[in-house]
Amino acid sequence: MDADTPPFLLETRDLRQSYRMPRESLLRPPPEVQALKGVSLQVTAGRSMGIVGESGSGKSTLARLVMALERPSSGQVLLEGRDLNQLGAAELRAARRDFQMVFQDPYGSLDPRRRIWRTVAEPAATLEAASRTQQRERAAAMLQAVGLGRDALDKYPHEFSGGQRQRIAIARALITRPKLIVADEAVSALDVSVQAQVLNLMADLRDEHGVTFLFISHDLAVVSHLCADVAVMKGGLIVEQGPVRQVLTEPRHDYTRALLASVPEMPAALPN
Amino acid sequence: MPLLEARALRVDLRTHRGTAPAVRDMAFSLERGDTLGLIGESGCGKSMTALALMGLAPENARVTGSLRLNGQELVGLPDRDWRRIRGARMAMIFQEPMTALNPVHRVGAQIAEPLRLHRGLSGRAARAKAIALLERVGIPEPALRIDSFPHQFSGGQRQRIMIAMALACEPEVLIADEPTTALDVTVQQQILGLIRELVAERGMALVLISHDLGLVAQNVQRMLVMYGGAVVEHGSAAQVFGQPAHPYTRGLLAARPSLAHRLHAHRSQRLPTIAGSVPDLFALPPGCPFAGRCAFTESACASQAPPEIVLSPHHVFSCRRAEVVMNATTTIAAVD
Repeated sequence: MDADTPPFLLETRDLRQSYRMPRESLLRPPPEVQALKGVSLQVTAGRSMGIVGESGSGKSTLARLVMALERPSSGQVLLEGRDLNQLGAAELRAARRDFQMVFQDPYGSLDPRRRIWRTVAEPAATLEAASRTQQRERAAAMLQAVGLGRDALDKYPHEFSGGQRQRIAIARALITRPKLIVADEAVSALDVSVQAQVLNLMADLRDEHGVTFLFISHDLAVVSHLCADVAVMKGGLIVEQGPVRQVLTEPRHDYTRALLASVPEMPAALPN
Repeated sequence: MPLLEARALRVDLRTHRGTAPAVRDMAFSLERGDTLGLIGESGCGKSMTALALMGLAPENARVTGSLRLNGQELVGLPDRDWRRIRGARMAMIFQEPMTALNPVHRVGAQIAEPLRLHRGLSGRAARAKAIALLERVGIPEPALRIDSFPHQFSGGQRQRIMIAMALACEPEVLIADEPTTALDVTVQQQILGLIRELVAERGMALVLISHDLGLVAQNVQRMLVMYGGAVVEHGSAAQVFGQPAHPYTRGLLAARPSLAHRLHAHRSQRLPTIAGSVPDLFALPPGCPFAGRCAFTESACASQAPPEIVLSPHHVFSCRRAEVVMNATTTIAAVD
């Protein structure tokens, strides 16, 4: 890449990951599963990327590698040109300011014994020293950005509904002003009407705060709604990627076509 | 006489906070071969309805009203009699095949159990039937797989095994509570296709419960939309899905991201959402449960029960403001 073109916000190069399975026989080496078999992906700042695929296709493995929560077997993860796996522990921690994650289960991802302001402020607090008052103020600002009031600061997670908890998780991800948010099935556990609220919130953050999402979901319609580009994964590989409109109208891979066909759409195919 | 008929079915849950009316005034009737969809969001009472239909309502629940299977009253039936019906004449497919199957028993034994209990089949005959059932639901090499444990199957296969179990005694009524929620979309279609095929083949009646309006509409003839424990709209699937009338049904449909819509609209277009959140069952208004969240709310909505508006013999909804609502062409849900 020449010096004039800015590096991609996120780039993965031939990313592979295999996991060792429990040994089946004493006489044979333990079997391995190849969760990712060479994934190359480029995400430009401002163009959110959606990843769709069925369970076992490697979507969540990709998310964990992008977040540097695991080391890949081979390949590189580059965030603005820096290889995350080449960074030292302190550098990596500092780099985490730029990329945050929102998890699937809003019931499991918030510490039930901590007040909300601590949970929300934590990512920033680990990066820089801040007084309790400062932390609370910043947490309040983030909560406001996701549509929750100050009164949420001193509450505990159990006092909130699923949709509100997911907002809190998003506020926590926002507090370091990240450039990239990896959302792994972040709206899948929510009811349709709540899901719509959270998707609207994410769209606002994308438009107003300049956050780019790597949005992982099994639901093509949800991914398409939020993202500019989409990549379809199957069996540890990206089988198709491109702008949403193009993938929806001219799917080239059989699996993409099957995915499109299985989305229940407007009354066309109704029995009567 | 209908095969299964519910009238003024009601489930009250006693908790430390008082009594919550989880299901109110549920009414429907099913003939052989009929398919009915029950849709709504979490907490609307759809799963509680399913449990009440199977006589599996929790200890702290009080089920009142009437539920008749071939004329036999099931509400208040002692457990002993329920056991003769469950699994034999009415069967249920549960939401999570991972937890509904017993992990320490081979699947063959689990499918054979109802056959031995209800039909008195010998071990060998039950096993042969179990193999036939596995084959019918599309498990490859059933004679080999019958001795496998649940963890050795994929999610979709486990759901197929659950279906085989439910079908074992050829029930007259099949209740499927979110049978495909945990599955991949492509597998979802296969499982629903299988259920639909089996229902048609055996003339069973089907109650399909889901939070997904589109999914239900494609797979049933009639549907009920539930909100806050009550049915707010019911009718033929095509009409409810094609011309939704109740503001809640419309809001629910509009809130779902749609591929067709994505192709036309700009991506920063917002999804219409329903303002507010689901009402607390302990503090339901005496009138319409949707009052307050609905863009058409007037003062009487919360205090007086909404009248039933008959749009056609196959399409009814409950709303005090029907005239205004029906003339509104725009999306009903308020944009937040």
